[in-house]
Amino acid sequence: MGRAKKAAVGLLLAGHGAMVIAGVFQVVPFRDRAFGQLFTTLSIVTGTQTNFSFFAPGVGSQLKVTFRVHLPLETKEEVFAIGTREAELRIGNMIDTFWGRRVNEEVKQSVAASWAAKVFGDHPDAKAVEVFVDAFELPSMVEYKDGKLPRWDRFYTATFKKAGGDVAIPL
Amino acid sequence: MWRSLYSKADRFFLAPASAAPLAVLRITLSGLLIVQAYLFAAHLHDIYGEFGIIQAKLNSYFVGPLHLIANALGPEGITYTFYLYVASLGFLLLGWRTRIASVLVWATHFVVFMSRGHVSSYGVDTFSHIALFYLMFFPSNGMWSMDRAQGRAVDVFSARNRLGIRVMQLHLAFSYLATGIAKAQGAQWWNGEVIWRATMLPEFRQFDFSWIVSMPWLAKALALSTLVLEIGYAIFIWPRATRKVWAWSTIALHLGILVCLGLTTFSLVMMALNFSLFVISAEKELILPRLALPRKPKLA
Repeated sequence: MGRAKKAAVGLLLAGHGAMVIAGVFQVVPFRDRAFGQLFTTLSIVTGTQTNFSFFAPGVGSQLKVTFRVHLPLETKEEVFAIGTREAELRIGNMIDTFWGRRVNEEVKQSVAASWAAKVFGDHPDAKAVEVFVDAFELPSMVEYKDGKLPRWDRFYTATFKKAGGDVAIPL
Repeated sequence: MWRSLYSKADRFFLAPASAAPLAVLRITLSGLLIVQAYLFAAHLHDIYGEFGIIQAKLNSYFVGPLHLIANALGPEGITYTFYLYVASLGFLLLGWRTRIASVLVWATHFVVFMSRGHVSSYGVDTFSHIALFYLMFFPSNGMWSMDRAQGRAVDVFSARNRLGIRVMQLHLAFSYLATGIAKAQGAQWWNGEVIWRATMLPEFRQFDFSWIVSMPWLAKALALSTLVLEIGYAIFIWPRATRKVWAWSTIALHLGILVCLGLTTFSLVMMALNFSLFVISAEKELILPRLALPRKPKLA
């Protein structure tokens, strides 16, 4: 490899390394300008945007979604049908969007509407779908030893009624 | 002094290396991703469909401008992209037209998992995407590939092999360091609560670990040893004396995550990365026993 080629490769790698480090510290230079948007896009495309915060700084809680489906002749309790562990983890991540940093009440309603629309799709004759989101409350090791048990706490509820046609998502 | 540094850097990044590590990475990663694709193929429309659990319109809120790529494909586009992804993975596994296959795998992986599937993605997608990105630029068909068998690639010790291995090794080491430091900032990792919580949350619970409350020292020891392993990775993975021990210990950590938390594909991809980049030697030829096939009798 010639000197010029080595220098070019070195420069590219240095730039790439800088983007990896920027990704870890969530730094986006000139965030609000075109350069910042280009930088963000490039860092996602190259896989350098991640801050590798798996299970960091700790393990949070977990959400569970259940539905009460009001059919013409009966009312059924349902969850998302999941066939494999891989699908379960992915659907779990989709449910966890519910308490992301950017999720306000309006977005929560949109997410819940999206879930309800899925249930309406599976039950075209359903008149209404109630969405229940529960958060798992896990006591600490000491509390558990003292007899406190884990439990599901209601976190969010919403009801979606079909007014004819598709269920519209507010956003 | 600069000359000596330059020479060391030159040796570190460009000393000719075997094609084996990148070939092993290509085969293990593409094989695992094919299995992973099979495991959620039945839920493709639930997870990635336009009217899936998170509808395409809503997905754009979480993903930002990158949703435009997936949305441009239309309602059925994501299905065809997924089929193309799996087919390209097959070609990458076989090492047939490896460069084209690696570009297709990376691009389709990006569309399905990082653009359309952004909200459902997790660690396995992040690390797969990083590895697939590098596989586009560095040769992984020097060994055990159809390209090699058909004369389109050569099995030689080369500077490009070394550069590819080093760049990926550095990225992996840095990611362990970053995740270790991020974990060390949380109290759960110092008092062992993280082990309790991870094993007791319904999402990850594979066995009943409630007995660990009577042995909090064990939870603490497991959490602290994970911190040592991840933060120490950036240092101890490099010296020859500690490399194998650190790599195998990290593989054991991921095996533990696989068994105890059920994060199967994530753990297997991390094990494949560690195994191919730090256990497979880049310094000597890898000799595998050959199959002794009976020769065809010559016709007179």
